[in-house]
Amino acid sequence: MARHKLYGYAGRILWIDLTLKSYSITDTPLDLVKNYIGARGFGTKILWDQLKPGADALGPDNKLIFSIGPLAATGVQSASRFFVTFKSPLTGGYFRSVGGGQFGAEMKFVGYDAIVIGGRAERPTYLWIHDDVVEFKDASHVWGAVTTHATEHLIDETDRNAKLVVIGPAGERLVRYASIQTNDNRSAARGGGGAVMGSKNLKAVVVRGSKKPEVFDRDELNRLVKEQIDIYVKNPAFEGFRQLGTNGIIYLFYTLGHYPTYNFKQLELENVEVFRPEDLLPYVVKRGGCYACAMGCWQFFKSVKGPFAGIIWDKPEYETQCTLGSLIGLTHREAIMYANMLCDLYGLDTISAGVTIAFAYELYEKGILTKRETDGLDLRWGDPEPVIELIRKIALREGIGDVLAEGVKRAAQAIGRGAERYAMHVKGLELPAYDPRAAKAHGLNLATSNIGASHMYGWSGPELIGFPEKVDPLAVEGKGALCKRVQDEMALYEASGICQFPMSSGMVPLDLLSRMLHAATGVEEFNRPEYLVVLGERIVNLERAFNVREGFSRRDDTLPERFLREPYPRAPAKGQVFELDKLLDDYYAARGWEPKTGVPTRTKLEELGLKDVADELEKLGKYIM
Amino acid sequence: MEFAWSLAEKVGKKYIWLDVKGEELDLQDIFSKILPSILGEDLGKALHDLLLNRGAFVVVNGIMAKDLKVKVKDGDKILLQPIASGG
Repeated sequence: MARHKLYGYAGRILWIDLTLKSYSITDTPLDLVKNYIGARGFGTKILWDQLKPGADALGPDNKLIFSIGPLAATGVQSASRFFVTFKSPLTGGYFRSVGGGQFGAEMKFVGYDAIVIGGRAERPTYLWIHDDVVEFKDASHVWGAVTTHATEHLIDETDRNAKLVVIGPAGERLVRYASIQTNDNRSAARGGGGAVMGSKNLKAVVVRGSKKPEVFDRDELNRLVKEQIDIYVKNPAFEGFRQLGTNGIIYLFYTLGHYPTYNFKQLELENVEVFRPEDLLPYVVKRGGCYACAMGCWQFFKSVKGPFAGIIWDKPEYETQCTLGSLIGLTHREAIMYANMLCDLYGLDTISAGVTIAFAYELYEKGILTKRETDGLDLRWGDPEPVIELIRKIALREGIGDVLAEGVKRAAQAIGRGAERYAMHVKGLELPAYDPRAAKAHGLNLATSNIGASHMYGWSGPELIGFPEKVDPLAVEGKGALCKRVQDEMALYEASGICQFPMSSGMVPLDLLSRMLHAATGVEEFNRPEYLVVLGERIVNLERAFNVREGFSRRDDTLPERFLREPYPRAPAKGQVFELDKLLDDYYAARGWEPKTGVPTRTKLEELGLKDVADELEKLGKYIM
Repeated sequence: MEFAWSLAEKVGKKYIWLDVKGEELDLQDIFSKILPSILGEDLGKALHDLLLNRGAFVVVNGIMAKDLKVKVKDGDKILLQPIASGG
């Protein structure tokens, strides 16, 4: 049969076996394209097909799948993100992590839609992939180095214009929330992808290519990109993103009750005014952005005073300002900047690191951890010095850091004495900077997300910013359907490789996305928005099926007890708790999943073209007869 | 009333206090009548237009205003901030 020409795509998938130091290249299958588009969709389908249930997340059988979408490196704006899919060492389930910068576009230039890595290298290794050459290179000389130093060495000995993903000492030591860093201070941070790389003795993947993607209709795509940029510059959120990125919403979200404090106790944060946008703006000394993104939401902050003076670094994002700041009662901005930089250097997810440190602070307050167990550190709310020391200890697995490196779920089990009550996670993934009690559909997303507590799995814009419509965040009715909708939309856009920031502000309307996908690829089905909506739902269902196969069920779709039993203490959500059972019932009904188990029904899976998945779940006894 | 970010710069003030004289008004009254009387017609109209074009968040006592019919009274706190997003 003649091979269908794939426009927009690189058209190839690279399969790496680190154990055997071998690789193979296959064509990107057309049915994979039509059913999953690319990026997150490819990662999900490949992981489902390739990973046996029960595989050790930190063993050689786990797969690490880097994938991009068909719009990457085509000129479409904000469309060159890279996705990393793997079984998470934190959750034990499906995971996808997302990164920006230039690596995604370079993957397209080097000619691969996905790079699938399995096995375990005998000794520290990095992959050097340039055009049609794949080299397994010794990484002993950079093993142990922080991410920036390793990066400098590796691009120096390969190509100064190469792009890479790299891990730091935390990933090498299998810290369960170690990040994957890329050039430009960006991260695919969540879920422990860095630990998976470390478990494979893989320090970095370095890519450099010269292949330009051929698109189906260049003139039409250029016209659509112009339309896209016009929408960007007219959008009211555009200027805010360019000026201050995600830091523009910190003070606002605190006012609205979303921004957590003191390990989610939500006490009033004294001095919260330091996070007002106009007070953060003077820190900006440089700006930047990902490959082909007019929005350019990177800002570099400079610290000039106090004990943490002397750095210019990518600013702590909204999440990081909270998790390394207000969650610890800390409003010392320079200290947060410094802690953020350390996490990037060691290769740590700033969300999980911060939540884990806040957990330790609360255990110390409650007397569950004593000074003897914290290696002499006095964990007093608002004190930045122990934060800095704990980051180092976690990354290097020293003393108390060795326990905390396991994440809050496992650390609480190891510590015991009621510590579980203060471990803020879902399915093992530490919570991001939102309070489920203050936005019910968003809380439902955190509870039901197939990767654990991720705000990016389904960002509830109608509740959080009143877009595209305003919805009462505290209401319960209709939230199951809203949660499903935002999760499916996110899956679709991520399958297309599109960034969540412009998408959630309405800068990439579905109709435009559909036309751009068609102009880039020529795939007729992509020209129908309704086809794409179903495709997003298919991805979420396959991710759920993966977790069901691993033993997950309704009992895992939950939230920490604090949100279920402790009333929110301050305005505007004062008195609110999260009504879990009612919201879950509503969500499963909207999804067409079994209400008792949270398993997608056969009817739903067959409707989405996933009959083979239903057959496998049935064979495994996942359906109650 | 608190102005955030570029709006504080535009207005030239971080806070203003509105005297509603014990009346219960709605946001429409605030933006179309009271603000122009304090900040001048041009600036008042510019802020009103900004809201109509979805250019700013209006938050009353920590709750995002659904529309300009939201009632306000003595002691209420209004935050006006340019649209931002992310997370």
